[in-house]
Amino acid sequence: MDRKRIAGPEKSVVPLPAPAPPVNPQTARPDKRRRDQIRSLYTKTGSVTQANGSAYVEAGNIKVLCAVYGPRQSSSKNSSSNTGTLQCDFKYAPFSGGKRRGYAKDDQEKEFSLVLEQALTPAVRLEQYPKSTIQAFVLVLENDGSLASLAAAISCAALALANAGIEMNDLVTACAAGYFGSAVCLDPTLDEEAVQSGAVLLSYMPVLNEVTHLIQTGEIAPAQCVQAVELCIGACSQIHTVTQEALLAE
Amino acid sequence: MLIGASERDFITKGVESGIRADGRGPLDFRQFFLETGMITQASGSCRATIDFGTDVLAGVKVQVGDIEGRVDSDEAQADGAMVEDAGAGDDAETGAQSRGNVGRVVCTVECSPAAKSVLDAREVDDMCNEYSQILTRTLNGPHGGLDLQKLCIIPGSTCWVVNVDVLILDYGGNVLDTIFMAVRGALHNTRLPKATVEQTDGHFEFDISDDETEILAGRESVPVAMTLSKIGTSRIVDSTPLEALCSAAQVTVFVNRAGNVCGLQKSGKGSLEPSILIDMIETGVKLGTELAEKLDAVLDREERDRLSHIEPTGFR
Repeated sequence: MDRKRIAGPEKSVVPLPAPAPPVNPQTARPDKRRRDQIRSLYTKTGSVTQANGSAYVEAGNIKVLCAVYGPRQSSSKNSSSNTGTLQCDFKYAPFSGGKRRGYAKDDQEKEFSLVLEQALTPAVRLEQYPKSTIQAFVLVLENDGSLASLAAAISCAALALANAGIEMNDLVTACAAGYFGSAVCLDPTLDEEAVQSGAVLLSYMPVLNEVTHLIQTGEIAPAQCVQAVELCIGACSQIHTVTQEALLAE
Repeated sequence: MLIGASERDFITKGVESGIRADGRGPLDFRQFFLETGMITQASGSCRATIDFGTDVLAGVKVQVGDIEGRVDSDEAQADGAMVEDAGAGDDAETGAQSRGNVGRVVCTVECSPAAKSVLDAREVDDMCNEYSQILTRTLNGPHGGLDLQKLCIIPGSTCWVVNVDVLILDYGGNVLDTIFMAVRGALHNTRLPKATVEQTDGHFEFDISDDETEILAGRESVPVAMTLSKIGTSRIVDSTPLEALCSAAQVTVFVNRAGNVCGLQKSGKGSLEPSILIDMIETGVKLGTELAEKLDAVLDREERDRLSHIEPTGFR
């Protein structure tokens, strides 16, 4: 236990919400979006003034902040490498979701950190940064759909890396989609996520036309899976135009 | 592990022209061995070995536990929203209601110190955590095959918790596919004790028998993993450690016996063109379905041996 912080009650219980009307994105989505429509995006760079680069992304209720530090000298242990390393750190704010999260990183956050690393590394020209480490810290301030938040985190981190002046091949963007029966809906919210039968997360470099990461859960016919991948690729290109504008506006 | 530039070049060019160092074709698996039931203390166990390579031991222990979300029905949403609950695709019940009557699978992957020294310590930690998450995500849900509702003992309060612990005994490439083979074998081999529930004036009581007799429902639909590694412009299955070092990106396709995709996971620090990715998914589905059939044949034989009381040979 962390004794430096004021401990709350040992066990807390979230009050049960009044039963909401059942969500069925197959017929109508709660926020009146079309199935192939992503949430509206707001992006801003340079929001953390002391970092080498930073970005803030808001997609609907999702709020993600990313700060990039480096390149700085790698620790002596792996300093002999002729390529640099990209370290990513993914964290949900304690108040970001329905249940309070601890300060220590849990297994899911550790996995998402690795996903971030794998999604961004192909874009960063690490061969330009021998013996150095670039660190990206992502904080999810509000979570509205876990895969959608991770997707926003990837786009946000790519934007922050660009803001830090790190040499990159392309600006990575990411998008999530959910399966609802036979329908595929882009960018599902937390309410929709509770009733989905599966989900896809895809991160993509639109200019180079290369996929940098892909996760899929849920049982599905191969053809529908390919359809979801193509839908996500289209959405990633849309996000790319928005993130690119944010960089041009600097 | 490190690889020299000339060796990397040799392997890459070889794969691009369809030749591999050990004489296999690009889409050939090494021979694998599967043995079940040699850990008598476990509810189910299986050891999967690839010829001259990876060695994985999976053990299943079942225990009685509280149903997740009994205190806090929001937990499944906040904790692992990627882990779908069993009732999520069910139209008759909403997610929140069905959450009250499903059991769960808890998976951990550990790397034994014997295999650890091949790899960097941080890499090993990351790898084990990644594989644990993949396993948990793939097995908890309707796509995992297991009928989680049958694991419920008392609706809303008590269920079976299936603990799947995987130990990597030796590293010889293609670990994830081997882990899924071992887990599939161990779940196939698992026997649960029978739980009888009695209702006396409004509250439930249950009794667990001493003999482990019940099989896990849906064990035959547990998916297999098929990892394709992209080397140069071509792709291979069942990579050796040296080939793994030459591969920038891997795609793992989880396929069940029906030939449906139950999950996809890209790993590695490279990128893929969409057309190559889609080709890899389709190839993975085809090969995965074949692998599932092959595994089923082995597991059926193991099952027959068990019924005719042939003792497992144990560790070779």
